[in-house]
Amino acid sequence: MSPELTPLLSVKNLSRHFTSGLFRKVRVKAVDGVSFTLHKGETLAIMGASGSGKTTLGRLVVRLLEPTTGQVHFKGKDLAKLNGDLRGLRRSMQIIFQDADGSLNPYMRVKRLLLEPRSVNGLNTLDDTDLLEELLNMVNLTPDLLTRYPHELSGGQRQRVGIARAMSLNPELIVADEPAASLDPSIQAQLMALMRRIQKDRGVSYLFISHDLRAVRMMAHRLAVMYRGRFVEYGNAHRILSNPGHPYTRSLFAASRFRHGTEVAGFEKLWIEEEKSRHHSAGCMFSQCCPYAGIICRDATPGGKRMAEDHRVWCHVV
Amino acid sequence: MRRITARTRFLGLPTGLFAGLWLMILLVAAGVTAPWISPHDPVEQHLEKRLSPPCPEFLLGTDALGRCVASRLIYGIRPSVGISLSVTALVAAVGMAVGMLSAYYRALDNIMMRVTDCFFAFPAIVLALVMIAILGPGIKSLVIALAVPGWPKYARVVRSVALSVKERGFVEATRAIGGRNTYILCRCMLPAVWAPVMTIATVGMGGKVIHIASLGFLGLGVQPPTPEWGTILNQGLPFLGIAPHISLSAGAFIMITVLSFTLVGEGLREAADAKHNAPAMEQLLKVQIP
Amino acid sequence: MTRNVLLHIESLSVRFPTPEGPVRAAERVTLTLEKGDSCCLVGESGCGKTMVAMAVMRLLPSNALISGRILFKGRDLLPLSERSMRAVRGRDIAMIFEQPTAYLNPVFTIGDQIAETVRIRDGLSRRNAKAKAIDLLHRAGIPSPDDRCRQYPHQLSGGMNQRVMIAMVLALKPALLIADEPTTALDATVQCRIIDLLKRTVAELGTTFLLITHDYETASALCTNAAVMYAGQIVETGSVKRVFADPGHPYTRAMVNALRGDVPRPIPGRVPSLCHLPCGCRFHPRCSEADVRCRVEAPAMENRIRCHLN
Repeated sequence: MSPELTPLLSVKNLSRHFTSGLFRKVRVKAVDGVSFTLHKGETLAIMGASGSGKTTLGRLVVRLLEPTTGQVHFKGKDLAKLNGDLRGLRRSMQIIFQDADGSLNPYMRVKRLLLEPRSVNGLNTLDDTDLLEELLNMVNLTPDLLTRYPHELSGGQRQRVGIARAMSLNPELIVADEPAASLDPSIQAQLMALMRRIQKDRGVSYLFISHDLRAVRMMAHRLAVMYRGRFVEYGNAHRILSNPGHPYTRSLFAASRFRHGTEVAGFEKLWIEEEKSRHHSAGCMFSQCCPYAGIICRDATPGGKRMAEDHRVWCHVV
Repeated sequence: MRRITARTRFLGLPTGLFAGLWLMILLVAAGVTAPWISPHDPVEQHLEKRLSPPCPEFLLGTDALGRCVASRLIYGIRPSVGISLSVTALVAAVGMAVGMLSAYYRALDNIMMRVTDCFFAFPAIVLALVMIAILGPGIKSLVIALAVPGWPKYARVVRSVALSVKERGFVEATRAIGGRNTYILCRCMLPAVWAPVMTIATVGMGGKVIHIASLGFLGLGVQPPTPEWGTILNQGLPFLGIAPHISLSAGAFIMITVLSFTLVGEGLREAADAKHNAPAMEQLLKVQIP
Repeated sequence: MTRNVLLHIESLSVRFPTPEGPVRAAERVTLTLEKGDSCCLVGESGCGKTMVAMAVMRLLPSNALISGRILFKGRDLLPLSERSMRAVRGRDIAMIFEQPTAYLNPVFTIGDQIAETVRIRDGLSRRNAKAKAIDLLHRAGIPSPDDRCRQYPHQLSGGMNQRVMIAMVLALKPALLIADEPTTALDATVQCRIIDLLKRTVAELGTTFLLITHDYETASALCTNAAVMYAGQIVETGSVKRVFADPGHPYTRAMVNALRGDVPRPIPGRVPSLCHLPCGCRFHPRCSEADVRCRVEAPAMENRIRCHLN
């Protein structure tokens, strides 16, 4: 991938804190100081368990949430400084939600759902049959589905409607939040093949959020692994997948049974079911569970170490 | 003979809803066309035929002043159904607006809900009496007495439904494609809120009919000579022994009207439930039942 | 019927009458589980696997038309009265589901719910049942069980709740355990742990295990035998190793290969609607090897594979 001069998306030191609690104010750092870039036509996968902050990160990028600190630059423009223009820019970055959210308005039929993104932005009339045909063909849906409500569609069909809606605005960036979670393997395969084809045809960039290693392997050019709001590993996907550096990444891959059947020894005891209280240690967030943790890990937050070309790891020990 | 259950359908609608809907339509139509369909003039007195039982000339008999009970009851549809329909429409609109706005704009929520609580505390009958004491009996005080305590329950229910809708993914998704606040209110929240509002409204209309009749019974609502069911019921009381048809038929009209509203309300609620709970069953069985 | 057979499903068919015609959710499914067996029913959404499990538990909706026999410990379950079936459910056959939070009562603590199960099963006193509940939570791998048992289901994560369900199963000690997509809703890392726990539980109780899933990796981790379903029929059976390493049926082959390697390889076409099934072999419209015979004649189970090209 030849590096373009200006990346499509550039995130610097992004953080989002949530405070809760009546008396004892508990501050949860859902996303803590994350930086990355994304170029045109590229897919960056964000991997992590639930609670790692990856969903929040996705929403921060498309500005459905405001960051506490940090900057997001899209197409060279700082999103924080735009006000009215944000709406225009919003068309260029779209988000596909995990199906379980029910991201489709249950009171609208599919026909209206497909036309909604453009009509809300004042771009089309509500009866544009050409657009409908184009969208249906793009995601391989049959016209008889147009009169159905979302709950009358299967999971895979709902996801495809979601993709068609996002694509109808011709975005340059799509944040895909667990798009294939809990769908059947063959439907997952269909969805991912569709997403790859769209990327090839239209040069769309994806921010692919997932906890599924198989999906990541198929989609990602670059990869970031998140743990408790921070990046622990970041760089070229192929390199990380074949040679993971950070202990968390390694155990994540092992848990996903990456190597069919053979268990990777030594990481059994890592998976303490974590308490819901998010206790912040001064040092590395993973030190509580890490078998290699030393004294320095508990005291000092690791900086990003360059392990190889385009492969950074945040760890003291590696 | 088929057992009529909740599942029995008649021409595509559940039986209860079907019956209730027809009754409602008949009532409203009768009320509107009262001058044409009532057999006699409701205020015309046939003194020689006072307190006569139902007969071919006077279908429901006559009252103490020889007036045709049937015609009076038909004309009585107008105040009862008319006022309850219009007041319900008004309070539903106000309640929906308050509920949706306080759910959507959290800054307004607190103050709007406190105001709602104040209005909730008004006991309806007491307020009616106060209004009547101030303004004198009549339709104006009746409407105020019905409307003022009527809207808070809509606001409460609409707010809670709107809050739960707000948390759902598709509201966020609509924002993501660039939907503005008014669009989200109309297209995402309003459809969700509609079903519970319709249910409360239809059942509420039944309640208002009873309210109006109660106040009329006490002589405090609609004033004679306007025929009104409550007043007719009251007027028939001294004659229950010799001419029960007056009070009984007035009572029957009240009962049938309230029943029809309740049937429609229940039917709407069940239909709304079915539409949005069917997917849950399908999810459980993971099968597409077409 | 040998003494060793615990569950024998014979020619089970489940149909739903609808205005558009009967939905043939399951068609002549035949499956045998011996004592101590662990078998998986693998297939995609809508293939009928959940129907089969629900039929065994007699939990299908009342408008379902069921035919065939389900012999459990030699006794046909289908004609049993609801009262007799209730005695079977929970005691002899237990089931765990995909969304544990949906099956746990949100207004009772998890300790209370497990203790209730223990009391019903073993008739222990309240105090003993509470102690047993804590012990079961510990065996299910929940840390600090004495604190946890005072928590409510909504305070626990999905993985924890699944452990609570498994603790209940440990309390019930059923002869047959059915698990319907027990790990699908969980993260990859938690899945790993729950799979291990399930394995240990099944081994510890010596119970017969029937797994329903669409994830063949989970199936191969947990089971020794496999039955693949498509559009309401069983299309292939055999040992898990053989079926997934060397699939015989074209559908199994396509499904196993869909997410292998670096490129997704979807199966073309879509699962047929269960009320408009194709003639002949149900898979033939999507099968790359279909020939004339497949289009016309429905294949029977031969050599554990339902395919003409065998």
